[in-house]
Amino acid sequence: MASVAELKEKHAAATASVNSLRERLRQRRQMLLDTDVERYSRTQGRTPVSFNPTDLVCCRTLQGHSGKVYSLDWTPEKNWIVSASQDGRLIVWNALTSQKTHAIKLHCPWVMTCAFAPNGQSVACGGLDSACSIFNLNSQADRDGNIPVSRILTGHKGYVSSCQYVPDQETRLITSSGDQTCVLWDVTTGQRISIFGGEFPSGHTADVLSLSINSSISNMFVSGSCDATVRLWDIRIASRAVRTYHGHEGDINSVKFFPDGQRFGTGSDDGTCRLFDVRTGHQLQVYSREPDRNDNELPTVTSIAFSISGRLLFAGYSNGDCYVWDTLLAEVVLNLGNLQNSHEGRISCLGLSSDGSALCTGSWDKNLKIWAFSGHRKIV
Amino acid sequence: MQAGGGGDAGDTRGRHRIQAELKKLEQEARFLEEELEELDKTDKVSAALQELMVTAESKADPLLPVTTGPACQSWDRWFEGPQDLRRCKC
Repeated sequence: MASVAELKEKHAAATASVNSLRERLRQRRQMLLDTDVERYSRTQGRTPVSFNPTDLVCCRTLQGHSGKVYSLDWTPEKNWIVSASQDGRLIVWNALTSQKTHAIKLHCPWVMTCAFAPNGQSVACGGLDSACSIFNLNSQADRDGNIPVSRILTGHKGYVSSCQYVPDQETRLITSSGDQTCVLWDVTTGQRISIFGGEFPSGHTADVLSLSINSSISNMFVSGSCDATVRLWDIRIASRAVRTYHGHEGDINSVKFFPDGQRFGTGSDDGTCRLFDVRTGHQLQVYSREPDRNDNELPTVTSIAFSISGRLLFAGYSNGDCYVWDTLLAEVVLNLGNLQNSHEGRISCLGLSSDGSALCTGSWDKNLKIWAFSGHRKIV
Repeated sequence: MQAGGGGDAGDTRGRHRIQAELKKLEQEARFLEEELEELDKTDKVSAALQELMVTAESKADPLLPVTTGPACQSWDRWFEGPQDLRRCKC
């Protein structure tokens, strides 16, 4: 048996080898970066999207939470939204009428994330209790008007930071966690089907904060972590990540697939959003804001979402800004944070309606707002 | 046994930990070598960008001032009927 000293020597050699390989990879990748999205679009004669001041307006304010809003999700079919708040409640809204249809008081008030099931009949939430709770919206409410929890998914060893149902599958849900893993669950039985990361190599090495499931190939998902990487996973193969994407220099707070499923966007504590190519692993674009003279620190990106074509990238920042980036020209074409009726606090979550006609923003000011296009739309 | 206990036990724990880390590093090195090989056959960034541009410009987008069709009437449902000031009655 090798002595501890020999093992330490081998360990040092292996570390050096891994570092050298990483550096070679970085250099090789750098050589393939012959352009970026912005430069390419400009050479193709593209100009930035131009908004009039009243084109994108706040058309609804959803009031009802008594604490910061942390998370929101739309139903795939209807105009319903579920929101999760510091007040320890989930609220289900009819976004069209601004009315609340359900208010669910949680056993553990420290909720961080929520999601609608694809059929719109159930909602899921998770947080500091390290569990994911499922509520059937058709369940009979008790005497106090509370809907009983229908299933609790337990097994994570850290907080549940994000949850999302697999598209078109009411029984499958994926969670990300502070325990450095993601888990695929069978909601019906409450069983863990697969664990992504953890003991396996190529898993995240710090808390996982966000995930996004590919809507075109629903067996692929990406996860963003405090280890500053994004990892691509195949739901059928939990033993290793398909690919790791480097580039960010801080925690990755938000990750979202581009509408075509071939790329994904990220938002980070390093103050940037980035666009990555899934297949090649290339970083296609960095969306960096200009340094603000009034800011001592660069605002962090809290949440991102793409418009339905992918041409617009919405990004919420810790200072209350909500930039609308032209994805192709890498230019900020609007700041929803400066518009009339905007939020009075940090925008913590963002989401597009399934037909792409409305953006919902949730904020630390306790409100959610619906934004839609009210200008003259030119169809070409 | 408490951490930092008997010499042999401490030694064993150290050995197991280092062995596990070593295994992980060796696996990571294999993955990185695979990625490096793959990268030799990978196109430059520019090759992927034409497709990206076509994708972003070919789908009708209700939030854009200029977009391809077809337009859908329901896009403007947010500005029809009673709005904003309706309060929740529940």
